[in-house]
Order: sequence, then structure tokens, then C-alpha cells
Amino acid sequence: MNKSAVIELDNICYTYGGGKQVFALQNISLSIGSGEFVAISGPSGSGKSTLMHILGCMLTPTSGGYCLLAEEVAGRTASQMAQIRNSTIGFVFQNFNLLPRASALKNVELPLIYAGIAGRKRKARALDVLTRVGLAARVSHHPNELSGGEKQRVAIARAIVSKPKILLADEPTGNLDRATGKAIIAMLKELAADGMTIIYVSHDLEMVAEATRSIHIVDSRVVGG
Amino acid sequence: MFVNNVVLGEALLSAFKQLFIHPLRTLLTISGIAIGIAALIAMMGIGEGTRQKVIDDMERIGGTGVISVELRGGAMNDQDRDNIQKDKLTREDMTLLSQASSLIMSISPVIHVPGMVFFADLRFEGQVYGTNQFYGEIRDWQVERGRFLTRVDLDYASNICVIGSEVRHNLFADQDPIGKKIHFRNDEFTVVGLMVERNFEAGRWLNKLILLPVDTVEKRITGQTNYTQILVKADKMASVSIVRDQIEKAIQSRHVNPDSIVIHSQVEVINSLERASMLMRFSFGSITLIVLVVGGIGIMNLMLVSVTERTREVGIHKAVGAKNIDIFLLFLFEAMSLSLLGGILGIVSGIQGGRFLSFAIATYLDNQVACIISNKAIMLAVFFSVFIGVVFGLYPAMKAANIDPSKALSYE
Repeated sequence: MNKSAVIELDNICYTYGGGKQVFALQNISLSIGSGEFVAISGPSGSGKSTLMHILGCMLTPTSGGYCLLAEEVAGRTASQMAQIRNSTIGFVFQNFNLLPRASALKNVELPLIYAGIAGRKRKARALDVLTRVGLAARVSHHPNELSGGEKQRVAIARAIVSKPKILLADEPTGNLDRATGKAIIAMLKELAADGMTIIYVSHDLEMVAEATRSIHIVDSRVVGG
Repeated sequence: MFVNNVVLGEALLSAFKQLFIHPLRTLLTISGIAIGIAALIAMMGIGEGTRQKVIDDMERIGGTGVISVELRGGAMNDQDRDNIQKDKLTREDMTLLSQASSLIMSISPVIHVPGMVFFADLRFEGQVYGTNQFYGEIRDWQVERGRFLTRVDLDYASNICVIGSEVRHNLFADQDPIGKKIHFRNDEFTVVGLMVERNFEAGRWLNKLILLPVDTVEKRITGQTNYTQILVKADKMASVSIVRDQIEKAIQSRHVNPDSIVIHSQVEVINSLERASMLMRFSFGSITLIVLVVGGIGIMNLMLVSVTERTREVGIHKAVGAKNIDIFLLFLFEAMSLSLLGGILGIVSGIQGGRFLSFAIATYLDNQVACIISNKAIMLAVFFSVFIGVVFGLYPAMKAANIDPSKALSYE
């Protein structure tokens, strides 16, 4: 086992369907070190999102081992998994997944609520990260009043507000124009430079090229990287 | 399973805000609960008002401490009837009863004499009662003008009488009745006292009474001692049952056929009234329960829709670290706040409805029944509405809690 690895996948399989099992992921073994900036690419339906959900502790693999920060994830209870999602992992989605009826600030505060942080301290931390992603002037806006790029920056702010070790981004530029997408990738790169491990999915070669390492998945298997 | 206070607070706040996102939907959903609770509150209020009124009235005609000993009216067969006709309530019974218990405050015999009373060319069909000086005290009935019967009136069997307000209105109109002589059964009786008008439901009949000294009735009218009833007043409410038992024993020791004598006390009347109102509350309570269950189903339906609509939102909460219990509480609080709001609306409209019912009873039934809303009724209503919210919110909340975050985030 790589000692500095934050993520260690050992023969991960994920299948669905009862009788005739369909593999979404087949024998994936990966090791990702601290502070790496990794791109995952591959055609639609190759299993990229399933892999991201497993990495993000939202799905439990059918078989295989997943060591996160040198601790086995398999066998954890649902509430322990929630705890990991809250403290260790930040998630950014293609379609932003912001709460539509909450302001940018409230959206960013959400993980801190589940971390049990209250009142002024919570608000200050949320404002801090929103400033960091350049949205200090937009904190009270609701998602429908923000542009795509702004929404994604709110999502990034939400993902990093609880200072996770790992940031997972599932096609973060998929719904954005090229220039905005590049700005988002640049922001992720900056976070990686600060020591956060970042894994993002993209099938845009230009975006993938920004990564320091790329993993290619075809037909549920890793074929390169 | 532990939920931190921050999550708890936010869940409560969110549940409250959720009520106002679709106001019409909220209003329609809670109407079932509101109607159920309103009916509960109004009926409990009117029920309690009715009960209070009956008890109040009873207390005003001599308190609930009065025990009445009387001959049974309708017997079963000829032999029984003969026995009863032979049976009488006499002076001996009076003496016996007055010695039966040390808890007796006063005792009064009553002889009912049917017939018409006349003054000048006016007549009135009232009730002529022969009784003693304690009757007024037992019935808690005061003299308005003149005086009541006295011991001396009884001893001398004087030709005097005391009359109720209705007798006065019919025979004397606005004239002062004191000193006037009324005619009854070929005899003349001087009016010495006018009683206070009883203007509440259970006491109005007293206004028709013409009270004569019991000795006068025995000597001049019936010619024998045969009391219609003997009224006994206990020294306080709490002694009524004891006095009643002692009287019963005394009666049984003297009368051949103890079944020919009936003993009534208002405690029993009140007890059976309580039983009746319990029964009413119970049957009405079950109907209310049905309404509340229907209301609860409405809430459950809305909550299930809400869970489906907010699947993605649940996914987002879970992705950033919400535990199943957190989501469970979020939705349970929402169901509870819905039903509590319904309950509050129900309480407010129930109080209003009860007042309206009370007004309607006063207007159309000429009867004063207050709507008495006790704190107990309100607490019961709040408890029930929250309870319904919990019961019917449980399943939707569990459904929401078990949403798979991975699936929820790809949910369209």
C-alpha cells in the first residue's frame, strides 16, 4: 500500500440487476495520493459517475476494498458514511445541485449545519469561502439569480467549506461554456496546489489535459492512467 | 443515534418555512385536522356548558344536598298497589328521619294539594303545597316581601299563605299581594309573603307555588297526615351519600314494603348526568377521531408527495453529510407542524364555533348555555393534533430517510 495514498481501491466491482448481473465497474484498482489533481475520462455509460459515487461514499461497492485515508470503508453504517461525506469529502456536480429555495450563503452553510456548527461562526465560515471563490457580492442571491459559472462556484464553496481532504467533481464543466469551464478547472487546480486531493470527471480532452494525472475508463474498466 | 442541536433547530425552522411555500396546499391539507379539532373543541365547550348549567340550576333550587323521600307512584300489580295505598309518610316518619342522622341540616314535609286558587274574579291553576318553615331554606328560595311560614303558623294551623311570583302576576297584577285573601277549596288564606322570582330553567316551577302551613292543610283540607314527600337537606354536599344511607335504613325499619318508598338525591341525578355526558363525549369523541384520521391521511398524502418532489433535495442534504435520522426528523417535523397548525386553526375556529352555537341556542332555543373551553380541552386538542402528525408523518419520514443519495442525485 502506498503510504501517502488517500484513496486506495482494490478490485472494486459494482453490479446491479438481480439475476443477470450487469457490471457498472469491474475490478478497479487505483491508488491516489495526497494533493494529486486527477482527471477521469471515458465515454458515457462507462462507469465514471458510479466510480465517483463510490469514492464519495454515496454507494457501497458490491465487492472489493476501499481504503480512505488508510481506513477501510466497507462495513461502515449509513450514519458513519454520512459523517465521512460531511467531514472528509466535498462533492461538486455537473448540474450544481444547489437548494433552489436557499440563498448562496445558506447553500454553503448546509454542510456546516450537519457538522453541528451554529450561528455566527457558521455564517462567517461560509462567507469566507464564498469570498474565496469570488462571490462575496452574490451571497444573498438565490440559484436562479446566478449564472452557470456562479452556481458552480457556489457549489465549490459548499464542497470546500468543511475543509475536506478530498474534492470530487463529477463533470463540473459539463453545463458550462468553455471559458467558464476553464475558470472552474483553474480554481480546482488552485485548491490542489493548496494540498487538497482533487478528482474530476470530464470527457473534454482540453479539460483533462489540465490534470497532473488522468485515468481513462472504458466499459467499466480502467484502461489507462 | 444522536442528533445535534444545530440540526434539530434547522429542521424545525425548515419545517415551519415549508408550510408557507405552497400556502393553498397547506391550507387544504390541514383543513381536515382543523375541522376535527374545531368540532372537538366546540362540542366539548357546549357539553361542559350544558353540564355546568344543569348543576348550577340544581344548586340554585336548594343545592345538590337535598334528598327527597317519597311514595312510589306506579306500582306493579294490585297487591303492590294496595300495600302502597296503605303505606303513608307520616309525622312518625318525619321524627324518624330527623333522628336518623346527625348530618341533617333541615327537614321539611310536603303535601301536594291539587286545585284552583281564586282572587276576586281571577283564577290561577298553581300548585298548593303544605309544608313547614324550612321549605324556603331547603330550596334556597328567599322572601321578596312580607315573611315566610313560621313555627307559630304551623302550631296554630293559621289560614295564611306565601306565594310565588307567577301566582302574584296572575291574581294581583301590579297590586301589593300582602294582606290580600285568596280562595282555595271554600276557604280563605291571607297572603303574608311573596317569594323572589326564580328565573332559571330548573327553578321556574317554584314561581307557581302557593305554600300553606302543613298543619293547616292536614286539619282544614285533607283531614289526615299523608305527606307526598319529605325533603331532607344534608349539612354539606359531602354528607349526602351518608345521610341517604342512614335515611334508607330508617325507612326500611319502619315500612312493611320498603319498595313503596323512593329516595332521590340530586347526587344521583348529577352522577347519571355525568354518565350521560361521558357517554355523549365518548360517542362524539369517536366521530371526531374518525375526522382526525381522515385529516391525518390527508397529511400523509401531502407528505408522500412532498418526499417524492424533494427526492433530489434529500440527495443534496445527504451528499453533504445529513444522516438518515436528520432527514427523518426534517420530514417528521414538517408533518407535525402541518397538523399542529391545523390544530391551532381548529382551536381558534372551535372556540368561535362554540360561541356561535351558544348564541344560536340562546336565540332559537331560548336557553342560556355558555361555551366553556377548559385548558384541558385545549391541551387535548394540541396533543391530538401533534399526535396525528407523528402517526401519519412516520411513514413518509421513514421513506425520506431511506432515500439512496446516489439515486436521488440522478433523479429527474
